Amino acid sequence: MKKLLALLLSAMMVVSCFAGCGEKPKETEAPESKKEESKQEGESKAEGESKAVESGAPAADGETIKIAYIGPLTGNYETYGRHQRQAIELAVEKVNAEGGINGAMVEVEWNDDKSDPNETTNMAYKVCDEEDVLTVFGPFTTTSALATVDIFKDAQIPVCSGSVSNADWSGLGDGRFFRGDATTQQMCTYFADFIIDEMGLTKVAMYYEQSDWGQGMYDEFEKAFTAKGGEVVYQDIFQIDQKDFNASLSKFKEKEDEYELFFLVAHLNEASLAVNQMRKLGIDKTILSNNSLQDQVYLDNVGENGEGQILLTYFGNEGNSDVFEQWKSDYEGRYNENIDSHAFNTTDLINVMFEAMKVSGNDREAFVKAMHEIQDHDGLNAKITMEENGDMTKPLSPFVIKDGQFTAWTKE
Amino acid sequence: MLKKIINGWAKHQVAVTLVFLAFLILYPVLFHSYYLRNVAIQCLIYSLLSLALNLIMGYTGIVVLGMAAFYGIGAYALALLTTKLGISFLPAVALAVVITFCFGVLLALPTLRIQGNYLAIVTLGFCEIIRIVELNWVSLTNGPFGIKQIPAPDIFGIKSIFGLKLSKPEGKYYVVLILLVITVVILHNVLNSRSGRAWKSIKGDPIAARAMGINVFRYKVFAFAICAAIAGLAGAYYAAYTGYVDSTTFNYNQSILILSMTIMGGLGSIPGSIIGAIFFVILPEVLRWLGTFCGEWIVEWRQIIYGLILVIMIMFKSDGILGGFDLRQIHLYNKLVKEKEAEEKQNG
Amino acid sequence: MHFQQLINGLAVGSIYALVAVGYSMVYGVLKLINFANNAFMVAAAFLLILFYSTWHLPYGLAIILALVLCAAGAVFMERASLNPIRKKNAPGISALICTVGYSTVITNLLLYAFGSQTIMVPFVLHLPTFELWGAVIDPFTLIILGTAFVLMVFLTWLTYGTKTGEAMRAISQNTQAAKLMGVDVNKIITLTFFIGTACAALSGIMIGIYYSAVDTTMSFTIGIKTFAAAILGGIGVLHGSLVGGLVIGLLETFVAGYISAGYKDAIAFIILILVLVIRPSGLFGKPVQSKV
Repeated sequence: MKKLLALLLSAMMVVSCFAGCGEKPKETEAPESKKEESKQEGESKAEGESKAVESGAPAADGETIKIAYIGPLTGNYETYGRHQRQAIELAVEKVNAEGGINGAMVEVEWNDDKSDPNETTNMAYKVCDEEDVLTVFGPFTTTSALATVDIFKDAQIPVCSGSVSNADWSGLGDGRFFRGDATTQQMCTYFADFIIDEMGLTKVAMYYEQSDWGQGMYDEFEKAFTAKGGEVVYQDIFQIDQKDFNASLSKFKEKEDEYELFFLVAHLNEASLAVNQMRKLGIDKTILSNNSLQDQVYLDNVGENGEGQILLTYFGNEGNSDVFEQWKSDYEGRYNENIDSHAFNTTDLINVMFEAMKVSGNDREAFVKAMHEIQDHDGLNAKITMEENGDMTKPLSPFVIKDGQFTAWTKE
Repeated sequence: MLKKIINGWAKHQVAVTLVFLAFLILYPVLFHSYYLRNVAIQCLIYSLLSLALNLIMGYTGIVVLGMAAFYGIGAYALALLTTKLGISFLPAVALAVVITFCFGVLLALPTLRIQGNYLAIVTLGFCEIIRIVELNWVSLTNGPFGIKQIPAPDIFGIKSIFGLKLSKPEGKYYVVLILLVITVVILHNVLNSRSGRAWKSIKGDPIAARAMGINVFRYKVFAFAICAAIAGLAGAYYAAYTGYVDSTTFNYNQSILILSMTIMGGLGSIPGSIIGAIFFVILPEVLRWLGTFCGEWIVEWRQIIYGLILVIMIMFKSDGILGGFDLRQIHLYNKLVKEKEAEEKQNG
Repeated sequence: MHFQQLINGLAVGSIYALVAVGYSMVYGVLKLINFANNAFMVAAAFLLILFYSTWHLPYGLAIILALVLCAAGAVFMERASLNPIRKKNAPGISALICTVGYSTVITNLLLYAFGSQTIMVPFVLHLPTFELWGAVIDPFTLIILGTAFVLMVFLTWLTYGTKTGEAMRAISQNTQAAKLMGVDVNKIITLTFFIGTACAALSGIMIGIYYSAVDTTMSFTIGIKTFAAAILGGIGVLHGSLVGGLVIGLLETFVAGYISAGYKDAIAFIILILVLVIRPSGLFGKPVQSKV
């Protein structure tokens, strides 16, 4: 009897140990232990192709560089997580096939945050315990990023996100947070400029998602647009996972004469339904949107209802560099799925990270420094420079859906 | 096999409890990683939630599919009390518990007369209504942005005890451990008191209970309100622990997760609820570990596995692993049987 | 605009009505709230996409296959799990929780197989919208409404005009007595599930066609409200479900259009609670007194 009890208790303890899943429980200290490795002075500006390292001691042969990915591999945002993962896998394989980063192979650890910010917190804790991780890639949503700021800051680990759009985030990490996409602020400024200067319109109606992101877009856009003399004549919100938009859309239809442009701030799922319902109701106004709709699935879902819709995003289907075209055909050939802006941003960011790694090796502080010094890096479509606060300058351009393709927008 | 374990456990209840408690107290000393401590804290929080649901389902027999509502109310209550009114942690927790208790009463009074199946759906509807209000009442809850920078637990302003910083995971762990232990002790006593017996009789046969003079309705409301209060306690702690709340946490999936824990662990069993909670918190981590050599797909099957466990559990032992096992009763019974056997041996 | 909103309300309402009618019938016979109903509803639309868009089967065949598969799935659930539970005389709530489990499994299987994106549901015809008194009307709404009506008539006839229906009603009143009277209880219950789920599957396909798209979250968002519709109309009373669905659709649209788009989803649940508290038998149901 007693033996059984002892067995039960030890089993319980053992199972709890397994919760660490192979990670040995360590003391949580700042990653100082790796500091003595690299004596990087940090002059090496990473320009285009990486130059040979001056004084530092980057990862030697046989070593690996570990990136910890945290993102939605399951759950509601599973699609975007998948796109990010595919882009990263492709880039990592390519760099490893070419000999790795100065001989060291790049390895990615996949952590699924199930599209749930609490789970992101769990994963953040887990990753922070792992001393051999050079940097985090992720998180995906603004909410999960903001929820994990303190955790990453305390652990002094670099974080590179391909998708967080909240403007404040990159400044919260003591200089260790980097992003690979435009911020809400940048986008809205661009939108405002585009609408007033290029399109020559001043009256806009906005329909946006009730979330951190959507509300942020509305607030920033309203600010930027009004400052330039424009006016958001009318706005309404919709819920995530909403199916029927007719009630709100009917109100938009009624006020049709008051605005010139329909600004839709939505993700693919809701936009697919809303745009179809909008056209069915007879709202003919031009729709303006952001890059979350740049996806073949969206085009398939809306069909001809999407014609004429203008998107502000990073690339179209033509006029792209050879590097881009090569990447596109590699990606599509390998995964049998069309590229989207998440795959694009992820690829640009991971390549920037590789360039920084060539200079810094496995040293976190050196990596942070190298990241800040990225200038005129050859991205897929344009030259990339990392800014002071960790943001990436990336050109956005307007594209219009014509004949079911994202073609460059031109002023008629 | 299960019987043997149960009998053994019943015989040495006190010892088992003490050993387990010792393990819990020593846990942060044994395991230092953020991650493991975080998992443990999750286990403790969900233990509270599972206990709350067990009280109403396992002891009183009312099915609630909307536990996340009270979890959320407690969390938001604490968040608002500490961030907007500057109230310190402990009084804020107390207030949050009271507020959630009141919500429990508020929901129970009009709805507890509704028949079982329908009542379950009503609780689900209530959960959705609360979630929608949390998302849309922007002036109160910050709407989709949620409430950020909720201060970590402290004891009337004292931020560390015996050198243990309460804002660090170790400190936070002990806070929730103490809350859980207090709750278990109180629950244990209440369940073995008059109210507990009243609840059990209501579950067994409400009509007979009424015939025996028990004010069924009043006891039901009481149980429901306490269930809400405990869930509110868990929510309040959760808010201080993560420092951030938003409405997406408190949804249908959360309610179903808590339901699964309670059912799996065993209805009507305090240790059962705790075991159920630990099981479901650890399961995704085990899956993740398995995923590293069996392939990623295992991780993606997490929710499917939850559903399967629920189905299998309900099919084969609908009151859970430890369901219906009143350890004290079992121990007494076994003792009596043994005494009887010894007697007969003597006489025979 | 007000007429447009009325049309919008009826359009959404007709969807709730269509699903509620099938739901109500199953509950009327089995006294079981079948959570898996909604999961099968959505599964049917996904299967249609699989059969027609991916495997290129003819459209009609694709629909029939989807319906049959979903109904078969429900029969499996019934035989494998609900029957044993019933035999064990477990409390009624066990069956409900069992269907919750199945609902979780099916929904997440779909999520695993198809991803979280909204996917387009194909339709072979192209029905243009038309205008009436300043409001745009999608003719498919009328088809949905018509189907709901036809289904209601058919199911009512089935329940009250056939021997099978008589057996169903007998089971719903007193299963033991029905068995004694020679009713093959298991067969009738299986049949009820088959028909009920086929109705749900049909609803799912029609909803997918109406919105031209489907995703896994539809099962929860639409499903819970249809239950409210059935309760409002009086569960078990089929014409009540029809009316209930339309009422909820109208109220929801009213709230979204004139009060606040954010709170529109809450209205169905508020109605649910109000009905159950004030008049549990719903608009058309007969108040039942349970004797001790």
